[in-house]
Amino acid sequence: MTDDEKIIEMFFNRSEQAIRELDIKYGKLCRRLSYNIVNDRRDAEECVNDAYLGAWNAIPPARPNPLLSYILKIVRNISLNSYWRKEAAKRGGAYTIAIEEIESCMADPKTVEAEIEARELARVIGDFLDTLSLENRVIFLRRYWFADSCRDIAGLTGLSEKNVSVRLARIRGKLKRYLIEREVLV
Amino acid sequence: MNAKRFSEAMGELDGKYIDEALSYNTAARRHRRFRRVSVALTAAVLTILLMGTAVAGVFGTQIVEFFTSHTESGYDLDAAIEKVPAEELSGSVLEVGGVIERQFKDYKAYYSWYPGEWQSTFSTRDKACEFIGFDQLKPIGWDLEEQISTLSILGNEKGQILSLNLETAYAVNDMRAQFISRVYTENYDEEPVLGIRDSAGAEFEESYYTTDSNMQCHIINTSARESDYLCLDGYVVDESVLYNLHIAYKEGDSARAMELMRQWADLL
Repeated sequence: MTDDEKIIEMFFNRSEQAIRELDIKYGKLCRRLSYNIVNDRRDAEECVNDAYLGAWNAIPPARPNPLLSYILKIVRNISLNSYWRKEAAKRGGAYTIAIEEIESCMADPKTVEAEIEARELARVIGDFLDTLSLENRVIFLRRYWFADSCRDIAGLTGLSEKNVSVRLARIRGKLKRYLIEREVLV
Repeated sequence: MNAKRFSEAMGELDGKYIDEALSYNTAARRHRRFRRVSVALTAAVLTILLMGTAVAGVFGTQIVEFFTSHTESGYDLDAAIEKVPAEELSGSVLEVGGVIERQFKDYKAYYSWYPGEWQSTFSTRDKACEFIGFDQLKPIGWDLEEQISTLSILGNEKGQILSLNLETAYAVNDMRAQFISRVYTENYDEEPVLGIRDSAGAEFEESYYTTDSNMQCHIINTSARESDYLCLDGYVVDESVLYNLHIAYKEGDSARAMELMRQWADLL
């Protein structure tokens, strides 16, 4: 039985040790993701604790596999709720920079956004991601899902910071063309 | 697109992409060496450099240094370009590595040539591209008359290909145009910096043009030299290929030269 499976079993047995083990194993990653989004240590701590509570309530019946991406998704959702609740002027941080990159690329006065649900848009973005190389896909996810800085991504991929930045610019351009071709942006 | 909407959609992405980003194999990281370029700058050049740096995150090329002296003038251009694994070349070009390896083996110190370079000419650019067999090297549907295409390949003593330089010449009335495509392999262990040298006293002006396909063309205009010819150089980096168009023209053809430059960039 892997560590993750043991943690899940603890959740199923309603042992509070599950939360402690989860935090020992993935707490650092969770706090980092949350901090990238909310840009405040105390808020990030609260978001992560709320995410643990969310996991406690969801497991069982859920039996997530893999556990890490499951808990990170909860952390991200809760952190984004906190992020959007703040006034725009108070947001700041890595996520604001990342999201502004997307907005400045996609918000073209010549294009209009078609009505499309988030889930459908996610499917189109997923299809787009499948057209990218593994490395470019990871760069895109690390920037716009994990809100990592270009420097962090450069460290992960072994590329220069400038190269990461250039690649992201190209991927955004490709994504825009892809969305226009599929009439998501018209 | 509305940022919140994009953000929500990212949250709905299939978990496989998150897992992939989490488990990205760090053992497969690239190992790169970065060359530090020492730069001595005048205040005026510094201004230009800072402008270049401000956009460096977006554009594929940036000026490291403009310089001018009583003997020559020019600039160094840093290209942010992906180096390709040599295995991605699939044409007859792969045999060139062996030729270069033999050059090193057979070389004698008293020869008038140096080993490490192979060159050949082709009647068309398309034929040269076929010889190279690299998918990302784009054909260009330009209705100008091609004169000749010259392929130069640099390699090392192990027979590894380091870089490819494909140059196609065109004649357009009184203008001369050279379309150059450069590819660097992962065996090329420095960051590509192009050193452009011109006659003394030339002045340079840089600008940018956004192509129809939303790529950036970095344009450098060189003032008239003793020959009365001005030059226009355009640089476009498309992932692993650095495209460059060099146009030499007389003052009266300035508008036509710029039109050609934009036409070329839009075709990429």
